[in-house]
Amino acid sequence: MGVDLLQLGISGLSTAQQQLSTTGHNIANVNNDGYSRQRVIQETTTPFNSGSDFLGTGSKIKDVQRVFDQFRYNEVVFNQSTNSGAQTSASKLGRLDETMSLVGPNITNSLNDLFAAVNSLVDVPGDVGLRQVMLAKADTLAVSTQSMQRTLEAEYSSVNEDIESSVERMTAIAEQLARVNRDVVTASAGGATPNDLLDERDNLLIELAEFTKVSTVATQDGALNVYIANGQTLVTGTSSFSVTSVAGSPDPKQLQVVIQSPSSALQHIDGKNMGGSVGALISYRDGALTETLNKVGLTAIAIADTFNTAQSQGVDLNGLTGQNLFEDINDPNAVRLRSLGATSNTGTLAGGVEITNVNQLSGDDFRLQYSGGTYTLTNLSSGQSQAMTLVVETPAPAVGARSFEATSPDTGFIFKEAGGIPLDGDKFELQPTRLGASNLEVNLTSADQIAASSIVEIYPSGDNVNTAKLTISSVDNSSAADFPTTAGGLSLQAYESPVGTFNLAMVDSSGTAVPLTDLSGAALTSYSGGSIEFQAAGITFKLTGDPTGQTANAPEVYDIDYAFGSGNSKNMLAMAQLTDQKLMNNGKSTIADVFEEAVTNVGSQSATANIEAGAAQTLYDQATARMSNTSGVNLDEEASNLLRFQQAYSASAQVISTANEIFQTILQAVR
Amino acid sequence: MRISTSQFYSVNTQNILNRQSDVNGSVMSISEGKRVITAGDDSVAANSILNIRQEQALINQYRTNINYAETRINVEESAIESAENVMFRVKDLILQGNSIGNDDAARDAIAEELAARYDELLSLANSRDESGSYVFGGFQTTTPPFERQSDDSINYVGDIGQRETTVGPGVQVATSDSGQKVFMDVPNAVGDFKPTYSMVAGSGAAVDEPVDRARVASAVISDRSTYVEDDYTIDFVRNTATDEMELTVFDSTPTQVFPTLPATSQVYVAGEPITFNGVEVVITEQPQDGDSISLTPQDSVDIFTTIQQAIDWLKEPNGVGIDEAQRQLDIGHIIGNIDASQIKLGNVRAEIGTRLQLTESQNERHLDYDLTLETSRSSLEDLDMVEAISQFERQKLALQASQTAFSQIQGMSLLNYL
Repeated sequence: MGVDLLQLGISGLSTAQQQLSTTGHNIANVNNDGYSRQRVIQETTTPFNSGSDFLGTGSKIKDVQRVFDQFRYNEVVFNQSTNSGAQTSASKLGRLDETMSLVGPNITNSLNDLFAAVNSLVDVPGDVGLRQVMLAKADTLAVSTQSMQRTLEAEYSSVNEDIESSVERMTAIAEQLARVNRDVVTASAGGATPNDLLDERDNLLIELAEFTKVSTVATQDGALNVYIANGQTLVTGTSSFSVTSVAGSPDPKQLQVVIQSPSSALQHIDGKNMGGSVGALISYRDGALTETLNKVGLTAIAIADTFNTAQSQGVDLNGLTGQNLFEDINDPNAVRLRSLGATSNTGTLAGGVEITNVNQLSGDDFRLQYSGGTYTLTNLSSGQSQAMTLVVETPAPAVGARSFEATSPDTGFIFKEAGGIPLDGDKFELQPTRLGASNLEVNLTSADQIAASSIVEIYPSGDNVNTAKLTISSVDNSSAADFPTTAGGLSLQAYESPVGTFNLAMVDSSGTAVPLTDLSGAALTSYSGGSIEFQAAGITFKLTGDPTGQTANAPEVYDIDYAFGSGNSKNMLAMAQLTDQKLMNNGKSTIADVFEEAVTNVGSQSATANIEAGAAQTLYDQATARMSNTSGVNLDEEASNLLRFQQAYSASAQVISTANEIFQTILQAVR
Repeated sequence: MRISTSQFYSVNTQNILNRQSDVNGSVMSISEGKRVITAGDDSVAANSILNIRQEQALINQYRTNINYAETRINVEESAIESAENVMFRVKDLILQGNSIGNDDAARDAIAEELAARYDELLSLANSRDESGSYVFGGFQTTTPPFERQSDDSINYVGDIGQRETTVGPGVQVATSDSGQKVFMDVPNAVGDFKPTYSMVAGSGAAVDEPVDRARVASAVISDRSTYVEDDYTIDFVRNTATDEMELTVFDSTPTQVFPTLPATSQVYVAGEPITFNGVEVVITEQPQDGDSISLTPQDSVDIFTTIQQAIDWLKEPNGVGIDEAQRQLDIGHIIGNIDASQIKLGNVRAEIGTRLQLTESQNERHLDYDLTLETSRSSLEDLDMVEAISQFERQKLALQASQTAFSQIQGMSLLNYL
């Protein structure tokens, strides 16, 4: 028996038809991004053994394959995570940069305006109108600082919302992946390749890779196990886990990403290392955004503390010691909110953070861990740890009411126990400056209360023969005994005798001696020259240069007189000079510097992120281009295939027609 | 190389979008005129720009302060200038009143005018600035610092506070002087003591009484380390044996302090300094036997008291003999103090002039510095328009080119030929 020509023609016809329809499928999906073009693999049918020869019997479809390069695809998945993370960072930092660069100047401008108002009071201290202006400027400063804080807090919440919606989407993708896995397993049971299902699964993975790093392991039955972040299982075979966010601990606002397995065990994911947009969001929130919030808070605290301290050194228009211009930085409520206890704490201790020295305050956050009776303080930015030391008080306070200070290095605050008892392993997060800006509010209610006047002034006698200078370091207690009043002041007498010994004596207006003490409280009658600080009558003085005098009979004399007057603007003068004094960052920065540092810090992070985003985008584009060049549909190619397969189809039809003609020829022959 | 159709479109679209974004960036920069809009545009430059802006804000503040200070200083200067003019007139009047030939009535008239000048000076001392503050009250600016008492003496109720303003980094300039300093603390013309003369009538006829009697040219504390604060009396006695005038100084106990015991007196030599207890006294002219001069510590006199003394002096009738001698000593003393007052006012004005010089030099310094800062800020922040516009043109061209190329290629498809 020979080969059935008709059958042979039909096999060619059906092959060509299949090829045409696959071409049609390709053309139909030309704009489907995740589509891999398919092609028909054709093979010959089993040849017919005629005894001496093998005769071809036609063609059949071996397989419909998708043109897919696993390596190029993996590149896309990897670059998707990197790129999506880089784009998220760049866009978030870009927005923060805009906020800080365009809105930030409001704060420095308001601060400059406040100083301008202070300077106008230096000129006319008694003018109530100008005093009112100063209060208004202080209020503007408080409002712009608070508004900056609110903007940043809104950004913080919006990042948290982004994280929440991202993890929801991740859970949904995980469920879909599990479903597709099931379908793929079912579909490939017969040995065929479910091309379009595979495309769907690959596309889901690419979408998942937007949110986090993704890795996969294929199983023999065709399913794909999916792992995210640093190898946390998301999908195994046909079952998926859910990704959710939970309140952070100790800081509940710091949302954490967790994976919840069907058995309900929560697994925390290290957010900063999970890659993708969620990783970028968490890094941004816990990095640049938190830093910026803290720096704005630090600026606010510094402003409040500086002006409040300056106020306390003067007297207001009614002759009363100046009150705080802004709310006290160590308001009990603010103190309490700066310390957050972990939910896992077994002890009952509540804590608080009291700011003691703005110059040493950094804007960093700290972790405090209690163990074996010791609090260990760790700076979360630098990682530096130190044991805190107990602040000695008399009588010694009970556990739960003690204070602890950090001395090496000095962190500028003390931790105060506020009731309860700590137990081993208890953890606290200390955020000394986080809420600083929201507490910046003007405290004074009346313009009279601005302490423009100094309380006391020093007038060196015209008979003094040396250039030694006596200044007031601080007025500590204006109601101390012997404090200068309208009734009479004090007088410091100093002379050198014998050589190298400088004798000091303070007398009141009636000539009665007033005790002098050094800063440790020990009585002071003489010193050996140079610069010295000492206290008397509630005032700390500083004497520089050597007051040699002319023997005990004619000492150097400095009169220290009560100086309140509506025309006295000495305290305003001192306040005005704070503008360019380096009061922060261990004497290295002015208040404005600290804020500007925060602005440029965000700017440089944003610039870096932009460069990284550009690079990531290029890599991603190249990877997708490579994949698309392999798997994408080219219409010209499909058009030429269309022609090719159409012609094959026509030719096969012609074979059938020929078979028919042969058959007719035979029929004619036998008729 | 094979390119997928959708890739072809998306790449071309992306290219055009990128060109558009470049053009948009250039348009933004050009319309703002700035190269650095946010810190992210150039974080290094941004840091410098912020620092420069802060420095410029500070300089503006200093310049505003300089304006404040100059206003204050000018107000004070004009008051002191007027006071100086008053004092010129006062001195003229006193000299006029002292000239021989004036009868009592003429001197009364002069005294009248002097009293008017006194009032004028008082009102200048109580002058107020535009904000209603008393210029010479020290820190006490709400109440008149000079109060006339019922006995016509003047009481200063201000304090000695001095206002200051910051006019440069670490540079403060005083913007006021207390009335105490300007009007009350005029250095005593004689030195640190006020001399009071007790003269005995001479042996000759009243008219022959010498007009130039011994007077204290100066009495100063020359050595504070040995100075003993006290009232001192210098007694003159003619040594009948030698017929020389001799003097002895006693303190208030009275204990002899000069010459050193056992000597009980020393020969008087006009103009030769005598020193005791840290005090150095120079006496000139000729004392009479039995004259005595007492010295009371007084290192400053006030302008008002001096003028009042002049008025009182003018109102007294001319004396004869010993009285006239006393009167001449008195008016000499008064004129000395008037001179001292004029010098004092001149000194204060010179001091004020120095302050104005300081503010002016600071202002110039600020202007120079501001210009320097502005130049560097501009080079950091501002856009180089020529460069920016040429870049903009290039970007526009690139955008047009990619659009044209895309529109020409996109129509080409094999399917068109089927």
